[in-house]
Amino acid sequence: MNILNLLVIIPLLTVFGIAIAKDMKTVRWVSAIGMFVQLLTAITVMLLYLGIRKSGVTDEMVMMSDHLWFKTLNIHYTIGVDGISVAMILLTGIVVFAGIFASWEVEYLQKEFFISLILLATGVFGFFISIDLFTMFLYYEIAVIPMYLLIGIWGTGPKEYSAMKLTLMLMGGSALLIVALFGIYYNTEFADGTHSFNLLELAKQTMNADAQRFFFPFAFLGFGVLGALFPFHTWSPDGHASAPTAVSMLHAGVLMKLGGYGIFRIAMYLMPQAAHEQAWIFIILTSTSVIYGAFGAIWQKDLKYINAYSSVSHCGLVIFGLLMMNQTAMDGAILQMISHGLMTALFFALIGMIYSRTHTRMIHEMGGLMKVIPFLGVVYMIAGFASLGLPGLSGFVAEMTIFVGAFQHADIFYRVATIMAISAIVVTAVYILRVVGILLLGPIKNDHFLHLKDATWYEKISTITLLAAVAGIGLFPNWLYQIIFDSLEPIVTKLATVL
Amino acid sequence: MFRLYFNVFWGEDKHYHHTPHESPLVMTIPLMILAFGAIFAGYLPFANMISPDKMPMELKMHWNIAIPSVLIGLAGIAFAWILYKKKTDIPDKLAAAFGGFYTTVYNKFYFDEIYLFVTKKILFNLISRPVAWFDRHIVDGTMNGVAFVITTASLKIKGFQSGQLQQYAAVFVAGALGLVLMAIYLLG
Repeated sequence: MNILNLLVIIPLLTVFGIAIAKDMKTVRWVSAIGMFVQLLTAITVMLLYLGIRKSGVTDEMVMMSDHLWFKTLNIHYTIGVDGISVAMILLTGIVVFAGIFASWEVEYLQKEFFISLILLATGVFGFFISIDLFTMFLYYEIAVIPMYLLIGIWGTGPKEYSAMKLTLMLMGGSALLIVALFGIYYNTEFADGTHSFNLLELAKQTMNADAQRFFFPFAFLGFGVLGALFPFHTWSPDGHASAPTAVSMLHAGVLMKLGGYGIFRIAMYLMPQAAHEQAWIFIILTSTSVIYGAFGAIWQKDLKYINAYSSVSHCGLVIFGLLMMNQTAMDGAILQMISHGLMTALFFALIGMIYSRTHTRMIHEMGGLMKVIPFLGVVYMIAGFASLGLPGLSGFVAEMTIFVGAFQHADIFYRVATIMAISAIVVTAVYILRVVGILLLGPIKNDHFLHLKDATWYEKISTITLLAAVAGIGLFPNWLYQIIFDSLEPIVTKLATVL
Repeated sequence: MFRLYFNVFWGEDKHYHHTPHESPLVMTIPLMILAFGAIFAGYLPFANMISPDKMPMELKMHWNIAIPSVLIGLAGIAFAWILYKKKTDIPDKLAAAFGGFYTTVYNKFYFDEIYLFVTKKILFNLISRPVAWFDRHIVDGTMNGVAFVITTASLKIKGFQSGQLQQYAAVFVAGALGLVLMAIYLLG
């Protein structure tokens, strides 16, 4: 049996295990062990993949398996991975593992919470291993729908409003996406007159140019809504702020990357000509995203809103890098997906931990927390440095690669957009350091906070896992850079042949 | 530099809460080592040790630059001696003579104030606040507006599913009549 199937089976078994568990303690431990096994599987897949590549296999996707599912529309259950998928699977494994420990204190309807969370994770893992477009869409929906329950029941603040807005906007994106998928299906002619949903086979054909121009915006915007593209990003601030900790971690850390992944894997790979022609529109939108998110974050006073706008800005940078359509920039964009995923998961975990102690998320009501909860304070500062791109942490590697690659474009429009996006780094530094200063340094504003307890063992597991990953990628990025670089080749080649 | 030196170590005696005393050897020995290095480092043959192509670089002594620069340095020390070694009012008179220029330099050319102004008033107030307002009211408002339109529309047409058989019968007959009229018009 294909080891990739394990990535979907293990979460489903965990869900089953939770469903038959009898008390809260068992539920938590089943989830933790299940997701730990899942993390080990993800690491094993990565090591297997590296071994396969080292032995000289140069197929585009490896570890493939294929089953016919629905004959009429030629839908198959096809799975396989390449370097980018493996990296994203590893990212998801780490974030889900950290997320389980960050939700250790959930008490209301615990079973249902962990079931929904792990179902969501199943959807994400399935998305990254799928090669058939329809299967990919199925898993995409599985990843989005539990969000409504998770935010609407276990959230804080205007949770019903946020849950409804998030789900409806993401559903709107999916609606655009299914149109694009069927557009791709019906407009790609194969030699024997059949149609296919298989990504690899579709990539070998050229889609009808007019159809490309019509369907590219559908696909791009469909995934862009999930990737927080301006102006479809508004589900993000309210959604993240109202969501419980682990849900924010998973959503900002992994789900928003589904958008970026889909953009280059489906929209750009299968419709390269339209991508080149329409790139300028979307570059304007993403540059706006980057700068708008950064400036929006400065004015916010609620920790989660600051982080949500920061995510809008950084995810905008991902799509920005992808739109530059050269290997360096796209590699940087995928590194940014991984780096930002880990870093924002760490941020949301920390914010959740701080909130559970101080019961407020307004930065001006807190101050001097570094003296009271030093462990969380130091980790928060390091996470902040990763966000603003300090060398030695993963944020720098990703951002620098994107900008170097983006500037390689000789066209002046692209260069101006690059300069504007780079200026957002300074703004990022402003809001990150401002929050660190107000929150962690200075005098302690509320005497109730003098007796806060520092991180517990499960919180330490959660934060240290993510921090180790962020620092690890920051200090040793080359292995990751290389596997992504190699896997990007077919995509970049296809994009270049249309020029 | 020598203004600092003369002000601290010479000049008039000040009253101290704690009698000043010499530092212990632990602190002064590193200072001695560093001072030795500072004085004699110039004698190291750098040209032989640091060069791009492993050949010793030619470094000439430019006496026409070296001598005037040393003299200017000595003049500065002499100037500081006159002004600061004993308490005089020459520095205050000089400051008064320079007037506005002195205050500008004293306030570090107002750079800090400029930075704070640009950050607080321009970046925060003029850019961030409108962006946050725009996001909350216009972009969010559009989405909320769409939702409002849909819910209002559904509220209005909800009466159509009344459950009243009479209404259903009336719609049925009116529809049938309409179709018959259309058929007569189009086919006749």
